[in-house]
Amino acid sequence: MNRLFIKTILAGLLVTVLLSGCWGKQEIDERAYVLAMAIDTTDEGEIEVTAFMPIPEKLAEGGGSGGGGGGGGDDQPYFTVSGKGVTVAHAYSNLRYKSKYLPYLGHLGVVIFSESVASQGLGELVDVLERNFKVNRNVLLLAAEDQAKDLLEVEVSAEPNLADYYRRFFEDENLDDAKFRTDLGLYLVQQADPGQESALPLLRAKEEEGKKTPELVGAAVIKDGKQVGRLSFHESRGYALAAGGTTRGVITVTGFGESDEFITLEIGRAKPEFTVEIKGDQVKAHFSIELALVTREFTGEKLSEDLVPKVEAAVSRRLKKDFEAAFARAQSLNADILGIGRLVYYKHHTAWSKLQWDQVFPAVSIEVSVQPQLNPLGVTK
Amino acid sequence: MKITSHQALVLLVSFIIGGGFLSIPGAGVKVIKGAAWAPILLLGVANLISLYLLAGVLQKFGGRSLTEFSEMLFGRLLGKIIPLILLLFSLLVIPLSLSVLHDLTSNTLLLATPKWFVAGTFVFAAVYLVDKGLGVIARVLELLFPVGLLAVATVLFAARTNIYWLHLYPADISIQKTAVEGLADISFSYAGGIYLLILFPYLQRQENAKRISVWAILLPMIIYLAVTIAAVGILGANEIERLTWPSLEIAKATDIEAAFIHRLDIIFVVLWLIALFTTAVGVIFVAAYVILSWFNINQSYVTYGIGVAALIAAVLPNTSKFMQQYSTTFGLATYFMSLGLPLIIWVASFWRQPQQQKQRHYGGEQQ
Repeated sequence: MNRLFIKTILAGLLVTVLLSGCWGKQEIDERAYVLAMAIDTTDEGEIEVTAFMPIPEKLAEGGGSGGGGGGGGDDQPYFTVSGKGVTVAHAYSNLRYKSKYLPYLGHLGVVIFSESVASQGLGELVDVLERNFKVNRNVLLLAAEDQAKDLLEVEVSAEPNLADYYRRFFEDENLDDAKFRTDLGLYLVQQADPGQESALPLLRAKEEEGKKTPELVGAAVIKDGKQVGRLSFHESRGYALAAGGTTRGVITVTGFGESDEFITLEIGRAKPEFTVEIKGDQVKAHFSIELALVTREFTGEKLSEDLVPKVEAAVSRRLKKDFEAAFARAQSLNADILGIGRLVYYKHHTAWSKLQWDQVFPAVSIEVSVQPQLNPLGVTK
Repeated sequence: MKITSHQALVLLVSFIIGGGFLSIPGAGVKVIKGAAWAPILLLGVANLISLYLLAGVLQKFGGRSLTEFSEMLFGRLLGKIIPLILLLFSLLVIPLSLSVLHDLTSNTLLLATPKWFVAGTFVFAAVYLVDKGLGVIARVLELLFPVGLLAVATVLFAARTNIYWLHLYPADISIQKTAVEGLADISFSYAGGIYLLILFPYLQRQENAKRISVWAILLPMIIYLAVTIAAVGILGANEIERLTWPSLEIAKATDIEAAFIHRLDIIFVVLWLIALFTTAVGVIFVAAYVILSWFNINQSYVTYGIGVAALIAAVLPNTSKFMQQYSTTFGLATYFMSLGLPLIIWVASFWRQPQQQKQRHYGGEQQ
């Protein structure tokens, strides 16, 4: 036998050993892809983790068309399963006994936790997510008014995958709905940055005609990793525009012409900006926002030129009111969700080092300037 | 056997960029927090100057091998010290690379795979490549290099929309308690430049050595700075302080809309594996080169022997602990390697003149 033949045989054997499988392999059809997760506390004080997962065979059969959520009904392509434990990781590990599939977090898209969990502190939950390499930083974080797992059992028309539903709902910005998006990465950065607290969209499972549907009710305010209060729906709108990253969407106003006239405007561009002035321990903030608006619907006869400044003034009033309400709530909770402290930290660091922000923030005065520019033309008229 | 200037540049850059690529923003933050980029830039410039000076000396002394060049400068006995330093450095880097490799892969890609298998496969591939000689190494790295560069550029381009510009304001610029540790990590990230000492005799056009030395440091420096600025911009210095692999978190925070790849972090992990692999190839090559220049042994025995020894050292239970314990000391020692040694050679070159001597090359025609 020549050397080449021996080498070929050896190479073949090596390839057979090295490339024919994986060490500690997990077959794809043995995995349960956790798409959404809900964290609650039980009456016994334990942590309860509920996972929302697809059933691959039923997805392939096209099951679940026509809507519905989790819960694991016979026809549903998704199911939920819960585990309890003294820590989040412990509860999660107990999920394994409830399903024939091995839970896998690589496709986790949404994490919802109840207010009772949030008020005790999110540190442990976030630690679990952060330590797991498979969990991406763009996982959407949501808070639930009651039981978080209820939001994984709601029914949404034409979308059985609730993780996808929640992600799309918050991606599609709409000022009237007070939507904003806080993902794991943003939350971690906000909590690490000095002078910046976080707000998370707050939802509840509303029961109507025997069906549960999700409803956005406001925002949970998180300070130093714990929920310290809430923003109402109206306050959330102000937060979404000023600091929640909402730069598109629609806004509907009234009170500019005849009493029953409404106008729905689409925000083409929004440019919010905060500035601060510091004199001793007095901090004065200025919030300004420029908005380019396009008319989408007007319920009156004709949007005449003399109405344009009146509409702009109405938009300005509405947004100013929303923002001031959000700011007042943040001050009353002493939680700087608008990031004015962060602005001081980065842009006026010398002054920051002399300030006790927790004592300064409730006394910060603010000036608001909203500059809408309305284009009265729609697409067809 | 000769290599082109482009191949020499790719070899040097690949030897320089290693495991530190994922942690360098953290190293910068450990030094001066808000201006993490500053020590990376300063050490880059310092390394660039020292390597440029070294290239000048090498050009002056012509295409001599490391052993001849070293003995010509420092005499027969002292002249053995430079190759010895390179050998010891290389022998320490191999198990360190293998330990780091296992630490990351066991948390990311190969969860249940034992260390001996991960490290063994990696070492075997590296040793096999080294045994084929410098020309083959150069050609393989020439293929890997643009792929890596393109992938880094893609991720950073996609990540730009996540940058929060306020994070880049120079707030909280103060020397940190962890500065020494951070400086050691940064220095280690530039340490491969000294291998120009070995690559120089193989250069087809030795008059390009200075230009190669400049680009060999500039390219890693630009990549390190881009990754650091992106990491600080996206995560902020305060968040980076808490993270082991900040560069990986940039990719985890980034999504390319409409792209078919959902997990960009996997790209960074693969890039990191490539960087670690090319560095391992470099150090195994250097170790084998020095041993072969001293002893008349079969090349394959030496390269495979180094691989087996490194593998045994890497899988010993105390290696990871030892490496962690002495990583700062080890990193600080690289200051001597990358900054001190070129300067000593440069100074010594003023009172030693080049003489004609025979050449001996690894993997070449005059073995």
